[in-house]
Amino acid sequence: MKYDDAERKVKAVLADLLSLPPKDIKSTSSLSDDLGVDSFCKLELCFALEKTFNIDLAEHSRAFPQNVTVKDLADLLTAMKADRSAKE
Amino acid sequence: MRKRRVVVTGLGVVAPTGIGRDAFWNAVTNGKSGVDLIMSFDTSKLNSRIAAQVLEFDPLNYMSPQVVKKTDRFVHFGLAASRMALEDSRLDLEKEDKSRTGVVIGSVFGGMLFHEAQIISGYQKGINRLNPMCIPRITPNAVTSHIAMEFNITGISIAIASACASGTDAIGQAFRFIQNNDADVIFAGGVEAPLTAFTFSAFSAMRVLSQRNDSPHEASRPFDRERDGFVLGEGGAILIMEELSRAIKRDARIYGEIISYASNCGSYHMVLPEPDGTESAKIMSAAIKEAEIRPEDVDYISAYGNSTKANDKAETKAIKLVFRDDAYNKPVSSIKSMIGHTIGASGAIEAVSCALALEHGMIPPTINYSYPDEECDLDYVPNRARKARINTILSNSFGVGNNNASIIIRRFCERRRMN
Repeated sequence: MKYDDAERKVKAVLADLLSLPPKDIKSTSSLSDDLGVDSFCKLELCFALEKTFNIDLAEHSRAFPQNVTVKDLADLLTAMKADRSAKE
Repeated sequence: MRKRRVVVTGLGVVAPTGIGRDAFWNAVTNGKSGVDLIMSFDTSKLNSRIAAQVLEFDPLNYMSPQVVKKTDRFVHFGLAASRMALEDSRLDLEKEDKSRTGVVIGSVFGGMLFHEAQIISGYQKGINRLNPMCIPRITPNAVTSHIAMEFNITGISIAIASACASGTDAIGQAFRFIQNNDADVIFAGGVEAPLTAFTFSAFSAMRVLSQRNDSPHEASRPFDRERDGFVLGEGGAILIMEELSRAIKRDARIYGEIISYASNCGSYHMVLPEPDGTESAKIMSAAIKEAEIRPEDVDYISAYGNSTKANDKAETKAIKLVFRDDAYNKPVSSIKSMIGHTIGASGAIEAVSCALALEHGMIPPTINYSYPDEECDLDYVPNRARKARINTILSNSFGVGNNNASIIIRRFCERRRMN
């Protein structure tokens, strides 16, 4: 999976989850500081990302920090997908 | 010490026949039925397939997309009705002591739409995959807490579950809180969104619902001989209730004064009403006594009248026990004939109707009244609204488990204002 594709999907998941216009979600947006993602919302986000990316984030509370940016998250997911492809 | 007086200064309503005070009143005084076939889930295996649904309701007109997304339909009704009631009251919350402003709302089922979806999802995807916001969306006090958060209110916040009496009990308890100086302003009312596959089917299983599927508009027919059960409905209503002197000081429009409240339990059966009406008569009498009026002073009775064989007969008996021969002179009507039975919201929607009846001098009818029943032989204001000078209204709610509640609302009289 390419990074751009991952970022687009992350933004779409966040827009749906947070009921925000996609234009309000930027690559540099911090999940907690800019988008208001709290610990409960982060769990919902984990479920949605697992479904969208067909991955297993295992321990949701430690999957990524709450104040991660959209870009950081897309990087993480791109890497996870690449790692899984390499193992297969 | 003389108790503080409590008045109604704002009304908000989301009903199957109309959203907003004026649309609702226009519909109930024109005898419009809000009952129709259920389209939102498959009812083909059920013996009842009709309900009073709130159609064309867009929660986004009343709250942010974020709040809409994280709350269930019953909260949407509560927030919408609260916003309408607040606007109607012209109360400026920024000038209020938020710790003296409260929320008291009746709701029996809470967030059943989300609850059912999560149960299905839990069985399909695993119970370790439930939404982390499951409980905060389901619990009945989600409505009181969301209203408190939306308007930054920090006073009393209580959800009441006394079955079909919940809405009336909420108004009654709010009356007590203000009367006893525990609060100055309360958003009081009831909300319910029970039109979900499981909840509706559970009511259907009780065999309490009308099966008049071929003519939904005629299905809810309280006190009529051919009645065959109630029609489940959804909706919500909020009344802004406040202490009298401050309402006068801010020159508020006063719809009416709540002058008494009584509640008890018939202790007879979890579904059937107590057949001779003794306990429900006792709360009507207790409400009349607390109000320091005589039975003959009651100008109109807003009945519980749910269109079941058992209730309407028992309520008629109870009214006769209280009013004796004068019972035949009292107009008694049930707007459930139009809006169905909205369970925890019903008493609150009916209280809005009572406040508007005082305002307009008009008694809403009991529609679908075609065949007199010898055991229900009072004046049920059949089929057409009636103009009348009304000063004092008794409103009844009787719930599953024999929860009974009555309130009396009176026209606010300038002559009494300084007493």
